Amino acid sequence: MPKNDSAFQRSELAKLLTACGESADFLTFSLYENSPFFIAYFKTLVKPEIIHHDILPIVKEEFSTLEEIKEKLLIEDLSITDNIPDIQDKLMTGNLIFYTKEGQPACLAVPAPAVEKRQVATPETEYSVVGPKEAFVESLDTNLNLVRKRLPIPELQVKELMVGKLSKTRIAVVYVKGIADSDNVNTVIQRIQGIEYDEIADSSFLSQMITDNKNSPFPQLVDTERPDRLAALLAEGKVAIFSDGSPTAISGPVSLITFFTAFEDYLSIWNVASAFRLLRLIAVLFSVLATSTYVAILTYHYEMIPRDVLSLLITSRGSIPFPPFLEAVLLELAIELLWEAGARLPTKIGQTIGIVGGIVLGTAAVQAGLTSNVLLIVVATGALASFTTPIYQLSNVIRLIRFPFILLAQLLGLVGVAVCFAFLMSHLLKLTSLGRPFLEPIYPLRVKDFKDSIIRLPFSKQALRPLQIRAKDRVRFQQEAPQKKEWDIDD
Amino acid sequence: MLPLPPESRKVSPFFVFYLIVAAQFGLGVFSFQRYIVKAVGNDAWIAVIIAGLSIHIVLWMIYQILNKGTNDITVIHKELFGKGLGGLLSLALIVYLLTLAVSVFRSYIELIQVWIFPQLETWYMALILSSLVYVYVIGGFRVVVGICFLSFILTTPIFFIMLEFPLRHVHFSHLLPILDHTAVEFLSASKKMAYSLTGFETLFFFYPFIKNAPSSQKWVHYGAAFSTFSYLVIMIVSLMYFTKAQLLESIWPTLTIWKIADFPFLERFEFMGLSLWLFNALNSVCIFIWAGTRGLKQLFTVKQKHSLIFVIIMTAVVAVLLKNREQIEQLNTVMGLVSLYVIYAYIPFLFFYQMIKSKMRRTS
Amino acid sequence: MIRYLFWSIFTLILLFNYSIETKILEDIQHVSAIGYDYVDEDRIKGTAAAPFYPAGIDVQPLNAFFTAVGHTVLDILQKQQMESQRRLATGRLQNFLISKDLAKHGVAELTDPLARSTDIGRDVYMAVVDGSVEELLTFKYPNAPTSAQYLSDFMERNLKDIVPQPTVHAFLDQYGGFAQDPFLPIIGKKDDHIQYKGLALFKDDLYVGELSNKESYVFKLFYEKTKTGTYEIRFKNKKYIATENIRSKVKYKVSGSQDNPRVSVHVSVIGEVKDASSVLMKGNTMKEVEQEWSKETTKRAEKMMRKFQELKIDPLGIGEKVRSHFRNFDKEAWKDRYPTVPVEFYMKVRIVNTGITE
Repeated sequence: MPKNDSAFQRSELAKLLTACGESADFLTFSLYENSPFFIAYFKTLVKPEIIHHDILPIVKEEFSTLEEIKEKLLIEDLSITDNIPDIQDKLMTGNLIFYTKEGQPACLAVPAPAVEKRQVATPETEYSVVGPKEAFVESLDTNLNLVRKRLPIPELQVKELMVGKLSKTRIAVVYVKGIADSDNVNTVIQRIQGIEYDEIADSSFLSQMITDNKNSPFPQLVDTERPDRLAALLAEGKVAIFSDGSPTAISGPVSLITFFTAFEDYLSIWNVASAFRLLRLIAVLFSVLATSTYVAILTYHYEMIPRDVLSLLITSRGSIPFPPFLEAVLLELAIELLWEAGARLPTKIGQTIGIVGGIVLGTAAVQAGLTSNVLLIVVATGALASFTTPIYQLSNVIRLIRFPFILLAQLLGLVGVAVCFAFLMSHLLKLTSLGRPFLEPIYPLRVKDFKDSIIRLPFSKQALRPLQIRAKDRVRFQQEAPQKKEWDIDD
Repeated sequence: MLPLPPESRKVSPFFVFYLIVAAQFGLGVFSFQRYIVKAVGNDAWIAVIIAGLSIHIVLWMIYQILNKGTNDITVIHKELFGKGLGGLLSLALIVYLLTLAVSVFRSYIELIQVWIFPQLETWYMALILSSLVYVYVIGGFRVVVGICFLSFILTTPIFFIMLEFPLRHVHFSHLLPILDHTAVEFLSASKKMAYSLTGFETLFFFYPFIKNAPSSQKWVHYGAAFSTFSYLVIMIVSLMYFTKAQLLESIWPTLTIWKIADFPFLERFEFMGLSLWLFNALNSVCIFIWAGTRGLKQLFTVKQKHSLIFVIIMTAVVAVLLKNREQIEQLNTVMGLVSLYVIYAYIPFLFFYQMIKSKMRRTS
Repeated sequence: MIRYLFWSIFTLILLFNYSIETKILEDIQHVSAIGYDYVDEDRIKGTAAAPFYPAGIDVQPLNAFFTAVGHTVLDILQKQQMESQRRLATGRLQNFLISKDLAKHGVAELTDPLARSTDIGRDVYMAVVDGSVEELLTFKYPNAPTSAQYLSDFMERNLKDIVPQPTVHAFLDQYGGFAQDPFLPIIGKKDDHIQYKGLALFKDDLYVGELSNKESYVFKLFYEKTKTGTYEIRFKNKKYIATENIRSKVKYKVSGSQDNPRVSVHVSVIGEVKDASSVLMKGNTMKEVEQEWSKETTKRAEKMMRKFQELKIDPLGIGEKVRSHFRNFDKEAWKDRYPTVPVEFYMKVRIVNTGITE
């Protein structure tokens, strides 16, 4: 309990001002000669136009109290406070402080923040050919603005929290009241409040800190940079979390299938969308299993290769000095290298790397007899297939889990692949997202939720929200009873 | 009375279908044919139906027992027979289930050794399998149900697709004349079949884990019907595909059938099939061991996670100690006999005993 | 902590204790065809064709053969192994050949490993070779890179339409079963080609006789439903008409009592006329061709059946049909009765078209 003694307050304020004054960008001066009022601010945090046009010309007059200044200033959200930590926060978030050297230790805080932010741009990781082209930026308010524009209802509620001892990051938990399950909202808020960390740089920090299983390579909360996608998730009843300074929002609870859905799926006809979703699922399965199956079959189960393929494989493997396992691991590592090298480089250099790595190295490796061209095709297709997932984080997991599969394929052939798959499944079965099963709707089996998972049925069939999220209000829209009409050809 | 499991640990009634299928439809599907064909030849498929129908009656009895007891078998035993005798009976049932687990466990390793890797050491595979069982059972009943369900969607479609290949070369005349055997022969054949359909006794333990358990009875019957149907289909196909002499000679006719598969990209399906059947072996072992350790928990108030480790190590050790085909065959024969008594003698006895006891209580 | 320790030890044990021998595809010499010749009373000569694939891109496989004389199949394989540069593996075996001489002395010992082995497939094609197997396998044929490949193509893409499925599975099944006797195609080397010569008939595992090329067509027609086969009919005025079978169905009917069964075989064929030079194909002529076709075929079939009954063999599986017809079937009695059972053949032909000219 701080002493409410004005002398003490005054000395505290003086301490704060001297502490700030050690920074070069801190300014403090009196309004005019002999004025009792002083102004203090960080010049790097405030907008000079506001000071020069809206504040300084007005406060040239003589005032006797802070209240008078407050009444004169035509700026909203002014506050007079004597709470020192509050004053510190205001200073650090782009406020001007009016204070007196004598008398009351209270200060008037005038907001004049200079907000540096990027323009709303097109989404990069979740690009879609058709549909909205705006993406979240690093400013929390802009992001909330983007969401509110899409869901202009009072039920869209924002709970703001502050996390990070040093970064003081503003976190916003967003949900639609009446639709989102309050259990989910409470879980999210509790977990965020429980975070003990000094600096939160991005929402993915949060995502890692509040997930159910922190050792799982699988992302258990979906992240998106698309306001349209997020609005859809919110409307489904999910909870979204924004972090100031992060251009991605995270949302949950999700299931594994969510990571296979691109927002573009909702923009194209349902049967086309379903086909592509299935394609993605098969592609990921292929990407995980292809190389290991190749290793298993070539190392142990040559009996399985049909006659016509046999000679093809033998000739392509003929001059390779390594066993299939080593060959596959080397090639997979090469692809990983390409990826890592390309990911950190600007687009143009990245392209060059792709060409050098992919074409030059690949061809040379085959010609030098280091890898077989069949494996090259398998690995390249597998890598290609892993890119089909719309959510970037999942493709990272797919890259990773290929390796245990290859290792077990070398140890036990196809049985090893099955063993590895069984381990993977045991992990996935135990995984939860905000306490909800991760493999839903496959397990627990909820046939009704298949309408928007592996396939996407037309909008008319989406009258109910998925069961997994446990939305309070399951009904999306009232469906009219279909009219039964007798029909005939040419009627 | 022991407490019932919390609501959050329970599963929907229809999952019982997968549990029953998982317990019944396992490795037996590879090798059950010849024991039955030995007894009734071309009428073997009728024996499958007879055994399947009898299982339904037993299942109905199990539900009557459990619905009255409203808890698992350990509690029912204690109520009916008192603490000492009831506990002993429960323990016997647990040992029986765990031995079934050992039998499946070792049989799968044997299959791998015979068909894929002759050099594979038993302990090596046992280590892998037991750690797999551990990671599933430690996840609790829901995860065990999960593996049952997943293995169902992974293996049963393949099982039926694979029938397409033998169907190209079948002789319908092998099935004729129908009903060419005596009732005694059919009875002895059905007895043999019953062992393949065993495993549903785990119901005694997971019954309290089903939401609104009495309503799950129809799913149990569907499940048993499905596994009977699968056995029936593969039996009919093998009868038509092989001659009787061939069927009597081959130990694993279903795998022999898989050998003829020729997809344009893949031949000799038995390698892939056997690998996939890992899931089918795993789910039975998981259910048995889960049920066994659950029973131990109810009986002795030991923590299930501790007894699980002990039971898994024991399972693996016993499996490694079974050295050759003869010993495995012996274990299977003994278990076949025991399961016969459990299914057709003990369960009906329990059913009538409970009925009489409750009637007596009502009249007194 | 204990958890991580356990999983690390688990991984280490897995990595350092695995004892399975690898069978890396290209380090193995794949035996594609294997054949056996008769040497003397208790020795046979085995020839394995295991094409060798030299390293490099776009290379043709080299012919490679290993011949050895021994007592059993495995004995021979072991001796062959001593000559080959890589491990011989039979997992991709395509063809299994037996010389006619050897077949006369029984093939049971040869086929037992086929039934027992897990790595040999059930769809390996089998054939009897008229002449020396070694010669047939080791000859350098002009129309294929290796003899094994020629043989595989020949058996898998050609012969399977001419004779009923000559696979290991079929052979083992017929051999083991009571109701049917096995048969295998006979092939032989003719100049620089492989030629199909007919059907070898077995009694148990002994070769006892054969059907000619033309008879084997009739055999297939009466054995199973077919979709292929060209047949030449001798028409009046010494004119020949070639007909093609579009599809045919066969049905066995058993009547009478178990002591006195009667079997009739009904075949219905839908066919077309392929070659009918100088015969005008019109209404009546078509009928005549149909009748002639059916008459000739049934006559051949009857002759074939007489041969079977004389040899006391049952490749058509009539015993199985009769068994499935009667309850409490007496298998022993059937064996004695078989040579005297009346079997009748009926054939119904319908010619649906005559090509694109009349």
